[in-house]
Amino acid sequence: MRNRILTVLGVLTVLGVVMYFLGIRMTQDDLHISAAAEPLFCIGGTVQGEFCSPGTILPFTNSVLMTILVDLLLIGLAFGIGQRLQAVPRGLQNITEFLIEFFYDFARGVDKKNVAKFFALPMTILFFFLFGNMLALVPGVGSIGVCRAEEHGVVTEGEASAEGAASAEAPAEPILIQKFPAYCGTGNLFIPYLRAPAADLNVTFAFALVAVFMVEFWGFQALGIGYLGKFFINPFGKQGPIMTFVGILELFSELMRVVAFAFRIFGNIFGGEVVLAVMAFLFAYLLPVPFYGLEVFVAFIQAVIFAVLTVVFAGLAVQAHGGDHEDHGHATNEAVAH
Amino acid sequence: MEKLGINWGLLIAQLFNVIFLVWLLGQFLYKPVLNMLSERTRRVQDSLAEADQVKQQLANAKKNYEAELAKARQEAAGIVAQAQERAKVQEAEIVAQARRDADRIRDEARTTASQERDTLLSDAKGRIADLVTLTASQVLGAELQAKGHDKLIAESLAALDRRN
Repeated sequence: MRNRILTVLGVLTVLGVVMYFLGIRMTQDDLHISAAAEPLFCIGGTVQGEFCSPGTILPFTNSVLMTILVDLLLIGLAFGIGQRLQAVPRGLQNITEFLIEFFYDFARGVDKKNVAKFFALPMTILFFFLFGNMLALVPGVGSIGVCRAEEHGVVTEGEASAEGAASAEAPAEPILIQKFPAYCGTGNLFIPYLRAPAADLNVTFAFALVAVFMVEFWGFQALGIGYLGKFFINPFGKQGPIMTFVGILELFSELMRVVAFAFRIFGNIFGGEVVLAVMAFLFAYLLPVPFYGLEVFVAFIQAVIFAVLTVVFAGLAVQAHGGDHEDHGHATNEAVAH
Repeated sequence: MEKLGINWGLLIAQLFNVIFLVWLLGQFLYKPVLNMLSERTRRVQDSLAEADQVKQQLANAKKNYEAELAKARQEAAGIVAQAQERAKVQEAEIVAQARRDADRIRDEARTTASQERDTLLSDAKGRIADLVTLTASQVLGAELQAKGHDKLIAESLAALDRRN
């Protein structure tokens, strides 16, 4: 078995090297990296290369399409499983129950009293990003799309694929291999149809805003106006002026959580895509495979981190002031954030 | 902002998407699943408790049954012993009765025999007296005829012997 694996790997490497020197490889023009999600079409405007024309009401980007797909999947899960629960679970119901129960037990460990109130938001975060990130790793997502002129003007559309990892065995005439795979042509842009939702700041900011808003809301709900006492500490009180400063810092960090949440998952997922693209650009055969494994892990762990942090912050927010808990919470934050 | 792809319209749309998803999944997925999980936990606990109870009951029933059985055995032994006792008493009674009957029969037999003998004796005495009288009269008659009385006495005695 071991020998067979080694043989296959060796043959593929030799084949890859041969193909590479034959010219079947990605060129710099294929390496298109955009931090912004590209619009597929623009509602109330026209597509201009990577962007919509000014005055567009709503750009329909590839990450919006992916978001809708994930939404449909989750809605299907809710109505296919959640509304047809059986006392003796089988198949998909088992997995769904496992995920929900696993996370519910964790959330109960954080805050037993308020878990029922908290639970829906972090669980949805976990489900959405878990599914979104995993689906984004399916070959074809981010590598099947259209070619489009770089700036305004004629839009040339056609099937095209990039990222050698996903399309290493795409058919191509040996004569045209110079510009493999299915090169869009200089001056043209490659626009994939699908993009990971977490690789779009609109999605991550939306989740981050909701999460932080709800955390603050629960804090006020549990402690009333006294919740502000965590941040505005009387410098002449028994806690002293140092704690006043710490309180201000806490307030600032509370607000920065939005940015931290949004950029943590965006950076990880978008960065992962860039890594895969660059690896495919460097050597499209075999080299991206270990990074693919890494990205599967990152896709899972980032979804979990977002959800877990939301639970932890919510648990902290509803606790009456206690410096120890705050410190502990931030230590956890730092530890998990990496 | 443009380079990062943040678009206010999209951001607001995504916010609505998040709120919608949280509401929908909370309502139609987590709540039923968690209910189902707690329901299942409750049922498993119930059936385990029930099983324990049934086991307890079974053990009790077995204990009762054994106690009952032992009691029955004891009773049966008691009945048998009583019966044996009674049988012994009866046996003794029967034997005593038999003995008494035998005694009575023997006594009766003895009485009858002695009565009979008495009757015979008295009868015999009468006869003897008759014979003696007869003999005496014959002897006296023969004496009168001389010398014949020895022979007569012998005859009378022989007759007496024969009759006895």
